[in-house]
Amino acid sequence: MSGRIIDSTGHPIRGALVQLEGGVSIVVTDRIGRFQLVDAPIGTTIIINAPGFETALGTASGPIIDDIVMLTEKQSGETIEVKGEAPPEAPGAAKLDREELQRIPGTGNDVVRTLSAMPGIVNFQLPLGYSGVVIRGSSPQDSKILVDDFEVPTLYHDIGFRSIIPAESIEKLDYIPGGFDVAFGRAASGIVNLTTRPGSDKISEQAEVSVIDGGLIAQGSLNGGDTHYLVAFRRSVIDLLLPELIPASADLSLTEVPRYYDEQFRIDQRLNNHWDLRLSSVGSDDQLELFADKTNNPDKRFYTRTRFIRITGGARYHDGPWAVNLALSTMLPEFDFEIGAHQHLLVQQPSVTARGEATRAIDDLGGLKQVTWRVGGEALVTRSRLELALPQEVREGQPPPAMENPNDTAQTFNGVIWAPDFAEWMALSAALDPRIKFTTGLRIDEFARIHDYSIQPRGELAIKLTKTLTARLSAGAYRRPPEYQGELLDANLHPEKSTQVITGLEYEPREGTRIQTSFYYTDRTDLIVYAADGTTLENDGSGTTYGAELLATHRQGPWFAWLAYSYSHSTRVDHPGDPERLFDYDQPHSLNAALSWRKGKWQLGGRFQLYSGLPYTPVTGSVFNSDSNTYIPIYGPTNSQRAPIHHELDIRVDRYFKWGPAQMSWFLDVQNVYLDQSVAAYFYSYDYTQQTAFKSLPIIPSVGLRGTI
Amino acid sequence: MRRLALVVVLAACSDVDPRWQLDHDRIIAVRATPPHLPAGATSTIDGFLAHSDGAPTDVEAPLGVIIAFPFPGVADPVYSAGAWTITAPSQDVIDAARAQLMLPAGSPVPLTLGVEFAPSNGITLNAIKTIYLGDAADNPELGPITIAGSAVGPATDSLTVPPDTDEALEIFADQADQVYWLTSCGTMHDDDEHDAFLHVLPTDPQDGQLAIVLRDAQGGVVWRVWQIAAM
Repeated sequence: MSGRIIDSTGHPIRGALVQLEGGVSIVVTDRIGRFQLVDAPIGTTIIINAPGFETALGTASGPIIDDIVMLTEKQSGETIEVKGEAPPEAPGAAKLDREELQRIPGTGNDVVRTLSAMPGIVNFQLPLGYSGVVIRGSSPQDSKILVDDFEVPTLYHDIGFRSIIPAESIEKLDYIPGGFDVAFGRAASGIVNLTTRPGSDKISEQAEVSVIDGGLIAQGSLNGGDTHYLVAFRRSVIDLLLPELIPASADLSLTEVPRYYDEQFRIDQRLNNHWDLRLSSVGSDDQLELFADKTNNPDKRFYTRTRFIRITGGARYHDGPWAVNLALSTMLPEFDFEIGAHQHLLVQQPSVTARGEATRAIDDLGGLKQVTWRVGGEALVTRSRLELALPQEVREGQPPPAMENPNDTAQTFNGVIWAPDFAEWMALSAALDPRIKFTTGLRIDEFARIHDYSIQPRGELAIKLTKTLTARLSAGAYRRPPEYQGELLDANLHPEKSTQVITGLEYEPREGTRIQTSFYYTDRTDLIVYAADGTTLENDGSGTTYGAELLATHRQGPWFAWLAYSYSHSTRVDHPGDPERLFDYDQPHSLNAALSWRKGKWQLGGRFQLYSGLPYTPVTGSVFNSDSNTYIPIYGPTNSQRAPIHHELDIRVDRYFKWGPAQMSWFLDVQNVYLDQSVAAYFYSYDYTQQTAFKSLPIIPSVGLRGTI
Repeated sequence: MRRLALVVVLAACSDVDPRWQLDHDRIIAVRATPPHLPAGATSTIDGFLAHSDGAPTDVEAPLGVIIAFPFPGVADPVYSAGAWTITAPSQDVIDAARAQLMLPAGSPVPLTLGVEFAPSNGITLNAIKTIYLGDAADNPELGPITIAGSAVGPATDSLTVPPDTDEALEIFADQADQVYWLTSCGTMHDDDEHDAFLHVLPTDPQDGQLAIVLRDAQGGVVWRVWQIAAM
């Protein structure tokens, strides 16, 4: 087993002493911080000591382990955590640690929002609070958001400025835009996996407040370090400010200003040298109620509430070359949506997931070296309780409905749908020689509700061309089950399919510098679309996405630089013979360049963003329906026009200081400092004769204060 | 769906003309007199139109009328003496159409007309309007109307309201009737309620027109217009 020891700025630590817990032999790191340990059983704790640094711990997780960061005594009192620099999961993927992400301006101190700086992520000026993220121009429902390997229904709060998990509760963020491992499924595009953080060794309490929200975090360890805990709670503040932004002349009554809560809880217990246990929960609650008049007329009411809690218990067993991860998780989500007196949607989807994976490491197997064999399975049972009375849902490519008819309840359902899904997977990773490593795997999904089995082979090949240059090739089959909105009501649909081919290069010319490029092609079939009758669904669509991505990061001394660019072209055909059209989220160009400087008590940074506007379907005319007093729009070709390019500059200043016993910091994060007001989207007047542009929010300052005791 | 909340807010804050704005090129209502025609009866088609740049509303005859749905040819719209009319066919033809549409015996047969008016300031004005064959019904009449609590008599054709004040507008009508208040003077609130209110801000036009349009559940429509000024 080999690894590397570095300091918090990424510089290698020479002369650090590395030993296995309970072992007697000690090795010393070389001039680039490298070390090697023989006969290190997987799961064993590694102890590292070096002059001037706090003792660091690592885990022997495989033949090559993540970099281990040593902290100085001063740093260990702060909230910097271990950073991972293991090879990305697939070409184009990125594994990013919290400290690195927090240095990117324009995110309002929200680690998850740094996803917007990743290549392949579709950006939009409006903080609309997508339930998920849009990756490589497909649809939000094609990608999954995971927290500690389990799906959560939403990533951002409704108001859109914040993710549901605060930065301090996140250990790392894995962004895998495609080509993800067989251990993940139920998605046709990409995966975002947030790993929550166990409590630190040191007991601390932290409070933070900004114009967006405020929260408390308590963490620490008990029982001589065998038990770690972290508890976090947050509530929105912006709901206290938002009403002031609405003109008094507007016919609006905000009876429940958009407000949210979220919580995280995690307790880790080390039982003995072989067993570790974990119990965690993550949850959020968003609510909004408004009336489109000042008299609270129930016919003009809009109400939405999204809340969920996921509770997970996990156990990890490791003994020599064996490691087993077991987890049982339950989620209780509820989505309540009401418009006027007649239209409503209530979705309650309690689910239980059992998941297990066993890993066996073998040094030599029939000539293959560094072999890792994994086998796993997952059972997910969801009970969906639906009360539905809504107009027919708008699907991908369809423009928003014409004038809302508050009495339109064309789609109704009241009942329960059970959806048991099962998955099994197996993967083998091995080195053919010191330069060539491959992973091959097979995943089988059974979607029992629709009686569908999906066999998905996937594989990856990594070739180290030179000491600093690695080429990667990944290909695989992926499935998304029909579970989005009205798809649940139809048992005759099949999963949407995608086949992904990705190739990429990773170049690490020096310590702290990484450049990775990827080129991808995704073929999509069985896309779910409306049939010719316009009401029933069928798997008749197809599409393709291709593109290229670049991500370059550079750390040197106090400097941190980030450059991300992606080109993407995403098209689909809804029915054979139909004209090809763009996906709703096709975004050809996206550029993010960030530079941050940190020294002493100050950190300064700036980020420049530039990205294409999204396609839209123009209205070419309208016809007045005199009986209903509404206008029927006449649309041009679907997604045939595009909003203009958007660009903005964001800046960020952090200042660290001590106040009595508390470590304090404040930050100022300002988005769009030069007030670029490009068009985000177009809206039409009631009769479609006038078009109005909704422009980027002119400037979004976020000020926050944090204190840790 | 979360976007919908934003759209609601945008609609309230955007700079496009609101639907109650009379200073806008549009068809406000298409009227068939009468809207329900027994066999052999004739209905006249006209429209209530608004125009931009302060031009007053007017009632116009269409440029053209066609049968759009479901039976082109079941009756022919006719233009004569500056007006478009349509005559219901014989009872046999109406009965056959009713059977073809699988409607209950005796129920009126809907006939959707496509109506085109002269463009206004370059804006094409097209509409659809449904008339009913096989029974008889007239357009509704407006019930009592009060402004700031005072009844507005049938002979009243001009009104004054105090500036920068919420002026209550109320019509007494069946709650099933759809009511729309429109104005080119001030800002209308709750324009689709039986009881709306008008507020003329100093920045608003201080004179113009006030209109009310009422639609009943049988396809009938009626409107009334006043000159209005804030003083």
